[in-house]
Amino acid sequence: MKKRLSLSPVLISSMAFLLIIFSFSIASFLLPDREFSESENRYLAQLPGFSFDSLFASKFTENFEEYVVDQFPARDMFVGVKTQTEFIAGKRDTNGVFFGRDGYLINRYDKTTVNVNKFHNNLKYISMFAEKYKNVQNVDFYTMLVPSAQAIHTDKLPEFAPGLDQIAEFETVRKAVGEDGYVDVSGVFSANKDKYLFYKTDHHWTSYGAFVAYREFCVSAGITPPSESNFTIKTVSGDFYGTAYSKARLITTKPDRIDVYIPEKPVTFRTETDKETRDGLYFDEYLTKRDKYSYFLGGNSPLVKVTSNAGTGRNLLIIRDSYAHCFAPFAANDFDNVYLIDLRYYNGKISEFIGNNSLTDVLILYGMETLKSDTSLVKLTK
Amino acid sequence: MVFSSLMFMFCFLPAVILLYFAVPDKLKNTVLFICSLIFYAWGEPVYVVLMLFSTVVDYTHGRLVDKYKRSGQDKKARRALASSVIINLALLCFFKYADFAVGTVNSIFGTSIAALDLPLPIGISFYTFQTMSYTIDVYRGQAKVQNNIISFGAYVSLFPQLIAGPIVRYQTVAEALNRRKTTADKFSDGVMRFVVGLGKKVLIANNIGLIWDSVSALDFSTLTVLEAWLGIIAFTFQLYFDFSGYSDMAIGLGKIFGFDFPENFDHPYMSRSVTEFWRRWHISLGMWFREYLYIPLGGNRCSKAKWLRNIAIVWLLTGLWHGAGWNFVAWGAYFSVLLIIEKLFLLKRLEKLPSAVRRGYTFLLVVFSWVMFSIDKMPDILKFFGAMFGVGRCGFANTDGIYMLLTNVVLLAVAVLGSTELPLKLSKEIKGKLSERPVVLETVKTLFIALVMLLSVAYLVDSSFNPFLYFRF
Repeated sequence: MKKRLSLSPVLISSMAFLLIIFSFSIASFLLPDREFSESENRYLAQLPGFSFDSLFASKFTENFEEYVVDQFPARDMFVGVKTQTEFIAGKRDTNGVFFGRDGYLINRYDKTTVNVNKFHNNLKYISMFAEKYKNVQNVDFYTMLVPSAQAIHTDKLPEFAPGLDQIAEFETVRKAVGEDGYVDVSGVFSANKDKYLFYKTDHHWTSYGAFVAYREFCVSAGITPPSESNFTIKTVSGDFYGTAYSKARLITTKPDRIDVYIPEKPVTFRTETDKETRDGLYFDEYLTKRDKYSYFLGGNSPLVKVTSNAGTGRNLLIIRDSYAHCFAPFAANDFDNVYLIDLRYYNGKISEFIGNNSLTDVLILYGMETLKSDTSLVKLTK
Repeated sequence: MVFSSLMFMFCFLPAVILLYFAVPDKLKNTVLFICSLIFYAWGEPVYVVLMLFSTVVDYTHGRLVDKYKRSGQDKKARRALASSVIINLALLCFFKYADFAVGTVNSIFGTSIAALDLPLPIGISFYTFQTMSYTIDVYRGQAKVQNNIISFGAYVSLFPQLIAGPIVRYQTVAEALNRRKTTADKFSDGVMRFVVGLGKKVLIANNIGLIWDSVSALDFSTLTVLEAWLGIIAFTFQLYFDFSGYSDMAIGLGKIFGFDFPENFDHPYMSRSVTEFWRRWHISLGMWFREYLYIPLGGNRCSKAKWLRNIAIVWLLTGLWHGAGWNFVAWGAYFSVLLIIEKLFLLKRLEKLPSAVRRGYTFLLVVFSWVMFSIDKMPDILKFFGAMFGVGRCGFANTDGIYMLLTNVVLLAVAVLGSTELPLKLSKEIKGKLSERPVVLETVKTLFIALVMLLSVAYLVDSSFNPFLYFRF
């Protein structure tokens, strides 16, 4: 029987099939497991430990399937194949990211990706916080909400792309906060929408975007807004692929560039995170990694303190998400101390922190990406 | 475990193929039995006990029925048969319908009897129907009794068709259980069939299902006409490609291990009447109800009143078989009304109309039925129909709907063409043209297999959406 089988051309396709299933199963067995995915910026599932408890709770099998998917050989390549197929088939978004014009990958903001309840609650917490502190003596409060690229780069979106009006939603906060404390960036962003405000492959704003926003903040805070001529602008990386690209790996995508604004006047900085203290504001080691945005302040951390010799006598607290990472370097030119609190990881009491650190200014700075789903802003009310 | 998962394709299947073809013939059923139990245990380990219980009970009943029949004690044989049917139905009712009954009683009488809240054993509707077919076939003399409990266990738990059919009647595979051979041709056909099914499920059904997923998540009173139609048409194709794709994978795996399972779908959306639709959709279920319920009730060889009654009973139960919920009963009732109307007078009139009109008529009625099938609350069903016919005040279309349509146009076109006979004709054409050049034909097949596998893996690696639609069955 074996002889007859080996002669038959009918076996070619069967052999190909067997080759595919066996080679991938052997490869995934032999290849070492990866702990962290740089490109997806997340920890991958690991081989689950076996116990009868977890087996009968159906946990073991579930975790095992997750492990197989996460550790599948050539995972990144396959994600790219999928994205490319979707694009060719006429899809204009994948994994919640639009394939925009001119190489823009824009996070989708509509009823399929936004948790409307959480979003409204988050706006409510911010309003409550602002109203509570509005009349506190000696400390000025500001709120800045950053729309996502979808609301600004409307001309880069695919035809008929659905979206909710985030800027209109911000108006409820503006009303609660009052004109004095509300720093509007939507207007100036829309007016400059042809500039490089947002990364094309990442949901964050660029240093230029943060610079434009900082100028608006200065107007509210009574500081002379800096102009670009006050800085030397240096490109530190021309090879940045951000989070949107991790979800939508189109092969035609070109990398972003990361700029830093180095002040002309001689200011020195020191940055303290929960892990380390170092001179300067930037973490060069991230420029060779995937997560290049962490070049600014070293990434997420519950509390960061930036000290400078600006000598203005003003101290600023920014309650914020990661948008503040490239905003803080500008603030450090005009404040002696800039504290950054990330409510996702910070568990102290905000009111105590404000009382204990001789603050003169407090800024709430959040991007749409965080507001639409975050669950930590409730800490503002405590 | 579902076939369309990396776990199945790259861990379970290679291991089973290796084991199965390594052992001598007499151990092959043992390998299948054990592997099937592992496959079943993967989702819900405890319920393996249920499967073993079914195996032992039906094996014993089969032998009893056979023994009594042989010794001419027909009454006892019939009692053994009844006992087997009752135990199977009791299992099915307890696990599938108890909470439904409790909920209904509670809502009618205002009582508050606690629900059992047991997870539904996967595939219970399939394997209880199969085991019933065994004792009935033995009683009717249509199948020989199975004396080997391992072989019988392999039949009951056979993983290729365990959780989503086709429903294989015992007599169909009785021969193969005892003696079967995997030839090169059969193996190759099986591989091709599996890959075709995989593509239908992962590349078409899962993707088109995303449309329905996002439409069904919306408040139905805010739907535009376009969104409602797009959503339900997407579901129409999702269900077909998912279910028939799953059947293809099952039939393909069956062939790999030397079995011939019955066909389950025959281009149902090409049907020219509702009657014809049910001869082409989920064929193995229709056959089961026909053989073991409709004909024993008298079929159509009785008075007209009884005939209509029989149709009504069969379709209400068919509805209920698909899920323990009133929407499934309504869905069954809807089809029984349509079938009765067609059989009484409509079919004759339909025959005079052009095919395109008849296909349109059937497709539309089937699409309406999926509204009842896919939405489980009556008020929501009405709201959804309202949205389809513009009763709401949400207008004909909004940008969300237009965007959804434009970005899925290719996928929808693939689904429409894929559900016609075109792919079958095309593959026959290719096979015919290349029949003299087998190596070229095999190369074409190899490229097709590699492409579908590569794309399916890509979609599975980057996907959180790989639903299992038959969890209610």
